[in-house]
Amino acid sequence: MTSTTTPARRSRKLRILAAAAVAVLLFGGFSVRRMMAAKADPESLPDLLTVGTAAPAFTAVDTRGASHSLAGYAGKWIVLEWFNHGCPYTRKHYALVNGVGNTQAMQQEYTKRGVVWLSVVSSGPGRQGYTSAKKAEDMARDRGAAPTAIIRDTAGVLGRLYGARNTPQYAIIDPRGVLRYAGAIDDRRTSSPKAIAGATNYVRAALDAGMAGQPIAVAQTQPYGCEVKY
Amino acid sequence: MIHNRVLLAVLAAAMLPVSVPGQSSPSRVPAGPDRPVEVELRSAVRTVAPGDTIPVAIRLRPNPGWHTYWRHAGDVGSAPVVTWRLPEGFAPAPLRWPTPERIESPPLASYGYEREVHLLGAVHVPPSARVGSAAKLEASVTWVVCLEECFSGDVDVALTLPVAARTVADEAVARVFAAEAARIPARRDGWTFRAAADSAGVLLHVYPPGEAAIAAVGTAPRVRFFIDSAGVIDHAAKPVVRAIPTGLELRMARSAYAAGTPSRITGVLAIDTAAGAGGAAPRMLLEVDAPVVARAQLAAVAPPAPGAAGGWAALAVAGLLALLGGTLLNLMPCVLPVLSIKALGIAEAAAHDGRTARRHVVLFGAGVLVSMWALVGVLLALRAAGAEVGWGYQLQNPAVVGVLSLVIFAAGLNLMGVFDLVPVGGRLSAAASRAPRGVEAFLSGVLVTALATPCSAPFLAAAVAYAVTAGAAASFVVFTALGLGLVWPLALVAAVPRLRAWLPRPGAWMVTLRQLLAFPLFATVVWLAWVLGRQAGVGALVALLAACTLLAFGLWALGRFGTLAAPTRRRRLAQGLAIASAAGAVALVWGAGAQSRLTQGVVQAGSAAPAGGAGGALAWRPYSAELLEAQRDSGRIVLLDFTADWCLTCKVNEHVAFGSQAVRVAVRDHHVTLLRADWTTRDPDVTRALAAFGRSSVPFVVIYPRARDAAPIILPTLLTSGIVTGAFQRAAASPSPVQTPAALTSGRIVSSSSFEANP
Repeated sequence: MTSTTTPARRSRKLRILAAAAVAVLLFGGFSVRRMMAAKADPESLPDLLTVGTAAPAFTAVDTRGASHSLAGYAGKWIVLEWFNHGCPYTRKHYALVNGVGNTQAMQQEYTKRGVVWLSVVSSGPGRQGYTSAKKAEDMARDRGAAPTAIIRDTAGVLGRLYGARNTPQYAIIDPRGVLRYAGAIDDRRTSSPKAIAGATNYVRAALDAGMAGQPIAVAQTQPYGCEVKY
Repeated sequence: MIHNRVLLAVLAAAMLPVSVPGQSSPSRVPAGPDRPVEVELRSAVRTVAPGDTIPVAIRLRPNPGWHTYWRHAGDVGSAPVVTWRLPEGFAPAPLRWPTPERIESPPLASYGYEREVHLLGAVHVPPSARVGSAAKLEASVTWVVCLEECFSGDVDVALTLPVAARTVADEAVARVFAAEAARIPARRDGWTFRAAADSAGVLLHVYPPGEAAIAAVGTAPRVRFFIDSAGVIDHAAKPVVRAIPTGLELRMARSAYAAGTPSRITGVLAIDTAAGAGGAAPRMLLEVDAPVVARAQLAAVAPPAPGAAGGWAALAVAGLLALLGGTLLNLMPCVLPVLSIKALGIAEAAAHDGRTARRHVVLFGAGVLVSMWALVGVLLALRAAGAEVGWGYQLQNPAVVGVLSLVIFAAGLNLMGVFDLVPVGGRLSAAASRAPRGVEAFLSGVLVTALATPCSAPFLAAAVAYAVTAGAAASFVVFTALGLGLVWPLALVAAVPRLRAWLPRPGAWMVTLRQLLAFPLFATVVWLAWVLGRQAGVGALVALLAACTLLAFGLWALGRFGTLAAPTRRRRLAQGLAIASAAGAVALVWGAGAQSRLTQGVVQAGSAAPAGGAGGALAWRPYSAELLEAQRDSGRIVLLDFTADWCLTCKVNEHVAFGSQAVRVAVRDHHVTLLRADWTTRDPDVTRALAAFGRSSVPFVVIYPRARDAAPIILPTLLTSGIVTGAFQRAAASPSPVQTPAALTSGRIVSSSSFEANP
């Protein structure tokens, strides 16, 4: 058939084909747009952690170059604390109120009880909160912080893996590697250290209940604070 | 005497209410290093009389580009906090917050002000205040300002006002306050709000009073909602807004941090109405306080609007596109052969007798339209059934996405020529040829529609998508346009015999085009698979791929052995195989989708903690009115589940909600009696019990609270363990009909998971 096709005939077929192609594209686009309208762009949503499931495996490097991995801490409770030294909400929980810093006290108490406490800095190079390893250590010492280690997550891998949005933000993993708590430090969504007294500290509650073998009453909350500066 | 007083007031008015020397705090603290905001305490009066009220405001002016926050900050930052220190007997009124703006920094969003803002307040002066004394108003302001980074701090600001015989306004400041007051939302008489929540998100219905207001909001070009608590909706996802006959519907995505279902949705609604629409104000700012009710109760108040999604313009566009699509269907390879023959036949008839030809075209058109309308009917019926399984969020339901992928994949295989629906079509043609000529024309219209349907998935997908979001009338318009599009070229050919020469001749090119058109369909499958993978994970994605393979096998068998040429037994076998594999494929993806919902349900149930001693299945008892009464008399909470074996949603509920550990624990802890009213076969008792609630369908789940006089709690159609356990809590706590979790009323936290899982 093709061999005997006249030029006029061919051009008509081309026209029909072109019209069909255009129409298909048009309708495809229309339908996709309609369908997408019903749902927000999934790319814009942060990856979500599912409390009660296995925590994502990670290996991260601290300020001294040592490696920390989920597998390496099997059998221990792990606290991941997203940290930014300049963030007023982080500062709120490190501020000394009557000589006691809220986070420092938790770090001391729980590391003494065998908990691995990793303060994670996910700020990218050139972004607010990014520091050299030495400066991070100096600042931690100055404020009397006592984490097991300070993780330099400069590529934001650990932060994204755990869907960290805010500083401060917490993830608590039990000895079996199950994520048991994800979210805010407490229920007072303000920047004032005065709000610490009387707040419900979710991290303490989760650790105390979890380590005592009790169910964790509030296992997921929306964190508050600054953005993580990936 | 009076004269003296006026004089005194005037004198006092001349004194400016600025910082008095020796006073510790200034009224205004300018921006400085590490403080990118100016903070000021302002008053709209120069003097105040005893018993009067001082209009005051905290003015926050961030440096250019920086922003401060609303009373609920969203994902980042936090609201400023104002603490008053006032003289004895003076009392502050709560701050009134102007409507904020969305401040986006994907994937996060917050609510705040990238401008100077006055947080309006008031201080009541006691009647006992002494004229001639000075009232010192002090406020400690915790401010938060962010750009990329955030700063926060406390400043003290103070103001001293003379207490005088008369209150004298400061007109300039009063004007500024008035301008800001125009941005403050209000509760409006006659407006009602209702919300429903499920695992996909929150539906907020807005019912304005009167037709004019409904019309005004229905055509509003911009509608925004600022929720005032965390952990309910995803702040970053914009609401999907549509007009409904009774007002507006906003669909908002569920927060990733949501746990359980809130009992109220509160916040601020900002509606920018089209200029002059219904004589309404150009901008309506409303305080919203919506009780969360069962989804069905929303639908009862507000059925889906005909032609509402996006208004008349969208309907016109969809109609036009459908007309174009219908026209294009004529070129589709599965339609063209039939049409060509039909057109030639009609033209031939026209040569003999013009009237007969016209009658044929009309009948043919009627056949097309009637079958299109039948399609609408099926679609609407599916939609109605879909509503039962949460069709409103159709693409957020992984099971629906999976099945849709399969349908499109099958359509692609059909275009590829793997299988044919010719046996079906052949039989119809045969029927048509035996029938009288008029009936034949009508039947060929039906046949063309039937043949066009598998060819037209990309077009139908758009029309279906629109019809699903719009209402019955819109679907009707769209499908009628599609049918008319399909018919008119033929009518034209019949009317103008010379056009016959223009009909493309059937040939090999048609096969090429047909096969080529399969690829957009496969691309659509890829997209849907991606959506499914995002929603339900790798497991569901693999299930979909496996289902596609299974389906392909069945359809291949149909194409290979199911042709008319094949021996009857072999054809029957092939057809059976095809049906079985299709059913298996659908079951596979549906199961995977439902499984992902099951997982979500378990997650909502909270921690992975081993909850002790609540294992095993729930003990259901068959429903009878007597048993229900007896159980209620004994002071027990009763859950009554109307269900049926053929009801898919019921089964999903039984898996997701009633099958979860959290519900088992709650049933034990609250001593709930579980009654099951089985509607699998007709049962007048069950039908009567349903009718008592104004229902005629399952699933329907109702919980009778402990208190005898409390109203039954009607649960939404689609259940999660959180909804059920939350309802148990309310049922246990009655007589107060709605118990608001403290967490949400305080507007502070997030999680109401305290009413979730734990014994």
